[in-house]
Amino acid sequence: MKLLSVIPVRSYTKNSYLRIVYKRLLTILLPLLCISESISSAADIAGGIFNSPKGFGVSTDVKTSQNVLSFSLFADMYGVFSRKSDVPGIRAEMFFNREILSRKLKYGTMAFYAGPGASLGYVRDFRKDFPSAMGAEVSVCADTGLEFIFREKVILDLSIALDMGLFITSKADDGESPVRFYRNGGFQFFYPQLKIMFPF
Amino acid sequence: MKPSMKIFFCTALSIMSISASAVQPRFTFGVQWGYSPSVFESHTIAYRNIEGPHYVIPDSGYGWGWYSNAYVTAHAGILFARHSTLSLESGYEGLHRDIRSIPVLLAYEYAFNGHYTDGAVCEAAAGPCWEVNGNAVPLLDARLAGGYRFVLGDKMNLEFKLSVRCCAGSVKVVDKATGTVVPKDNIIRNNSVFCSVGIGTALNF
Repeated sequence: MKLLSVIPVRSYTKNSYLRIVYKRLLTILLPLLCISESISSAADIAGGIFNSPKGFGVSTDVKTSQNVLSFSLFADMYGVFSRKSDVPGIRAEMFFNREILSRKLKYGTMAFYAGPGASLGYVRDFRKDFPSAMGAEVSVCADTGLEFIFREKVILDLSIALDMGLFITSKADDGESPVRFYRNGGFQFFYPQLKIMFPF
Repeated sequence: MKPSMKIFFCTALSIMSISASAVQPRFTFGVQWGYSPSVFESHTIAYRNIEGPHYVIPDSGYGWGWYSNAYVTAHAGILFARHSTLSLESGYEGLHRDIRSIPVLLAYEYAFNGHYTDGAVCEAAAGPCWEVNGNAVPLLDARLAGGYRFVLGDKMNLEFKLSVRCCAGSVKVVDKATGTVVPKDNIIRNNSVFCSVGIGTALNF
């Protein structure tokens, strides 16, 4: 934040074009600065695998003093397990989780957390008879779950996530709009997500 | 000494040695899941064509390939010695392209460092395996696996495993010309072998 305050804002006020560029840069850089600040002061970084009926992939957690920045990249298996599709999609999710409740166990600790996030992907969406064509998915998400840390060496993280967003496809099916609500974000709300991670 | 007596004595000695090293037996259960692509398939099939002229259609061949499959199984068993677990497992597993199965396997697992310490494990499992919507006669299923166990608590551990699986027997025959399933009475010969490799995770309690 100190860096931003050094930039002379008032010197650009007379030039409207530069002002717009500056505002846009701020919009892009501010979240990135916040994230980098969180990571630079991170206490723990853990990485591992993401397992869910939604799909399989990799996951990483960066713990700061207050939040957990959680990032997952996985193959979206909607339609693949039921053999209605051969090619999985791909999704990336990011969450800012906050620890709500924490308990000490005999062999480690348990924490209940929740937080907002966002997801982006190239996936198939729900249709009644057959999965839709591939399209882009952009959502805001809510995540909640339980994290177990065993002997400070293995982390099991069981969670559920709700995605609310848009599904955009160039090959819209009959009677469907090319831009519509991402249905699987709601239908897959109760699909459990198990992350198995190891601290670095 | 007769061979049958030798086998009897060997078995008795094995049981005695196991008993000598036995710990308090404990019930265990768990789940395992993973990715198990089919890599090899061989088939020898012959059937009578009933749609057209009555002649026998032979179909045999083998080949390497890569068909993505997954598995999810549950198991329950007994920790009967310091290093050994005997369990029964069943679940849902992809066998090959459009072939899914329900295996019922008897599995023996050996933990090199014991049940309560991190360390390598190996497993051998065998049993029948039924094709989903297929024949009532099961296939013979066998699996070898090896991996590493992380002990999480007194009665809880996590395992990462690599496995090789072979399955042999009869699966439903589909007529290539019509795409329909050939009735059992028209099948003269039906033998198939499927091999797959797997990478998976197991959680035991």
